[in-house]
Amino acid sequence: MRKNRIAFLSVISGPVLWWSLVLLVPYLIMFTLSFYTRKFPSHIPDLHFGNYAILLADPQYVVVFIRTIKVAFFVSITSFLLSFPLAYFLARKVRSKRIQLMLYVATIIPLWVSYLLRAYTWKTILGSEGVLNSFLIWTGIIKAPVSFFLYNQVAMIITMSYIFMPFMMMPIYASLEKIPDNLINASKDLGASRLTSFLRITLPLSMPGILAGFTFTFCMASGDFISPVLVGGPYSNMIANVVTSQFGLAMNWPLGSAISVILLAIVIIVISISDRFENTGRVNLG
Amino acid sequence: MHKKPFDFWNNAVALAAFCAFVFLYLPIVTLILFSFNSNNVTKLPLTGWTLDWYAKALTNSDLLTALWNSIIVAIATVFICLVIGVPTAFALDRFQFPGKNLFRRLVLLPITLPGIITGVSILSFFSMVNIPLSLWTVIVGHGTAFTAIVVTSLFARLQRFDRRLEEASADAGAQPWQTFLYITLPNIRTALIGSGLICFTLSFDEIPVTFFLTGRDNTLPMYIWSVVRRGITPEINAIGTIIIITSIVIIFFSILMINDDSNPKK
Amino acid sequence: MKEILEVRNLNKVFAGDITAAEDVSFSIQEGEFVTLLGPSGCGKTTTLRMISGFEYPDSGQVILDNRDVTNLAPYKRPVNMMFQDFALWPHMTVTRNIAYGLTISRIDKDTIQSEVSKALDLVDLKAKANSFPQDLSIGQKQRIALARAIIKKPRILLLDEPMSALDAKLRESMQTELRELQKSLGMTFIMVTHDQTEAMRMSDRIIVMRDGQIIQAGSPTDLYESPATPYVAEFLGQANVIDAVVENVGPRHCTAIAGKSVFTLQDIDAIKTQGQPIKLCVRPEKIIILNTDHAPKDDENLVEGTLINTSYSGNSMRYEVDIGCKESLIIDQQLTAAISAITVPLDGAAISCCIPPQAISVFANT
Repeated sequence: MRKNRIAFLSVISGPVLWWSLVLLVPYLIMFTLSFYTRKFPSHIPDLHFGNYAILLADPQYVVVFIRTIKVAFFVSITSFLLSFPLAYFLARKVRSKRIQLMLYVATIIPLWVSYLLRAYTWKTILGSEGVLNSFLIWTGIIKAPVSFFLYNQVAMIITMSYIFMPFMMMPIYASLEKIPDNLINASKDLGASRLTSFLRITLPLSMPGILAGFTFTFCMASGDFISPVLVGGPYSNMIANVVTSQFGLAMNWPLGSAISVILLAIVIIVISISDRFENTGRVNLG
Repeated sequence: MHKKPFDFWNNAVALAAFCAFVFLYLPIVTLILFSFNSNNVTKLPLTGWTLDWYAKALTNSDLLTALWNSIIVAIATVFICLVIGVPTAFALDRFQFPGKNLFRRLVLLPITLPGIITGVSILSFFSMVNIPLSLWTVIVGHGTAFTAIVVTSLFARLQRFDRRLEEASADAGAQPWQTFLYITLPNIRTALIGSGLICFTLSFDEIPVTFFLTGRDNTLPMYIWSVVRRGITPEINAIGTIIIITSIVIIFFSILMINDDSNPKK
Repeated sequence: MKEILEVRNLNKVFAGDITAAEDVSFSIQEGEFVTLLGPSGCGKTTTLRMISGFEYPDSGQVILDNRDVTNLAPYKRPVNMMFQDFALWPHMTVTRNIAYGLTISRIDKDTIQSEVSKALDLVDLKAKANSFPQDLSIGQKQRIALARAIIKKPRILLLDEPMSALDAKLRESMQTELRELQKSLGMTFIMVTHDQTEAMRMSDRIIVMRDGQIIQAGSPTDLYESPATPYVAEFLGQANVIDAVVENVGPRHCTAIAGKSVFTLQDIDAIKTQGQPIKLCVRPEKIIILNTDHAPKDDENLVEGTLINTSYSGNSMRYEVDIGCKESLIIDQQLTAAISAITVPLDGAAISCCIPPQAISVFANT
């Protein structure tokens, strides 16, 4: 239909232009840049895999990659352990719809509240002069402040779990909330214990949400550079920190781009894997 | 009344949920508490009530400049998000076109990707075409990063929107623009306001993209970042409390708006 | 009477090769109440939407008052629609919903006000003028939708499944009400429904559709008494469709055999030769159960069988009788003072009944 086509073009042309200019072209440039050669103070066009070779060969970078994946993984696990009971409680145990909605909103509000300030607060809590230490001294549990709360990977994982927990919580809640009560009642009716019903009915049906939560949390955590600086201490550099330094002080944009491309690749791989899982194991609750 | 027997699992779940909830709010409460504490080190026990940190924060001219910059950036970001996000959501909801799936994935990528990638890629682009960094480049970056929020919430609303309401309007003799103005807009209004508000608060707090795209002007989070990297000062608690309380209020309303179900599709 | 609408050879195929309309043609006279009847997916709604302008046909024409409106946008057509589930705007009050069509035409406020108040009077809902649609009952919503649809005095009012949201009781009273309103306004109505009872009750003429095609068009009695195909017979009301074989071909009467029974037939247009397989259609209420009061006349077909099931619905009794054919014979009997549920035979009893030849429609096997 002609009329339809005109309407379509007038709606789509602006967005297409914008998205090409701010997303597609920049990604392509970043990709191209990763094959350039660095030449102080800038870089020159080239086509070589030297930047990628450095990243794979230099143990300094390999360690960072492994650390990033490890930390992001532990952050996802911790967030899951914290989020699932909360989501389960809200979705399946709170009977009043009003209270349920209020608690849910209260849970996801921190998701949108200043990311920087939330990371910063953990620094004030965990520091050797911080809230936790002074609390323990005040109550007499310890005599002198201990320094092992802050500036290590555990502190980083706690902080990042805190920051990204709502990303885990939201999809899990959504999937638990839409399971009809009768699916679980039918299982109990047929003689399954509550634990069995949970393991064989509730858990499998909430799998898409859990998977989405892991994907979100993992991707977000793997690109964080704030928490490592604030609470991570000396051996906490993650991929994103290396990117900031390559684009900053080190002035090596081609190397920085190569790292970003790898980060982008990791994230896209994780998303595709979870998409694949979700599509094969998709349970349609209508 | 028959008293229920003690139920171990139910209580365990409730306890775990309670702990998670405390975990979510303890840091926020800490931040607020210490913004009113007179000690200049954030440690217990509390030493006394004061508003000094607020006075200090609100007379710090660097901080106020940064605050003003952030407000400008956030308003401009909301504008971009709506101008681009609304037609994008309409295109995704109402038209079939080749490459639609790819288009959707591309558009939604910035909210799934760490902000740092958006920052780096746009930085590369600007430097290649020799655009100097300024608040404008920050605005473009934020627009790119957050438009997807408007797209997803408006798309969800449009999916629930009963197209027959528009047909009924055309049937009554309304031109397409009249239908949009009188029927469509009132029904998607809350989704637009809600997602716009969220874009505002996110832009106001944004660090990863801003980090790469800002020139000499600091936004508020960049200012705070430069301060907290060096050490802790209760002044940050004070300004943080203001930001957090404001955000909580704004976000509370935007969530209510986005989830507004007064006009569900029947 | 004057022709108001003519639909010529409409064709419409949707994406995925779904044929919604195939060579659909009909015309409608001014003041008629016409129903498009068929199961879901038969193309009736698509046809209605092509008349209202929400779909454009791949080929064919829609002629309204001798003007070709085929490709005219909906807001330029002088027809209005009452939507399925009503499509009342949730952000407007009842008054603003009804006034909308006039408001956007920039008609002066006083006229709008008086028209709206007339419309509210017509549907008897003055009290709800300032309510929002969400706060109305389904019946009230329907009246508001009706008022909104007729406020611009359309040349034709289109009704898309207007009763589907109502419960059975309300539906019946609304059917009468809507029909009376149509008569008093003298307005042309085209209704789409899948409910055959509703179509029969309300319409001057019914157009039966299936798979995008018109199968038969005619008055309710035409369709019921002389269905064009067994499909129409079964779709409109209950029908027994019996497979039979022609035995004797005569000039005015033929005979056919089904199971153990021989049938004399009067409706013989479809019969060509001896041995031809045919289908016989009989309405359950036209079969007479024989008892002491009623002996078969000579020309009535006698059928004998075994009662296999009975079901009771208060004012009538339904019997299922095995007569040695693939399908059992369904017979409806009105219960009267003489025949009550208590005197009904038990399952397994032998049953004799007769079917008058003029009650049998004959169809060639396709």
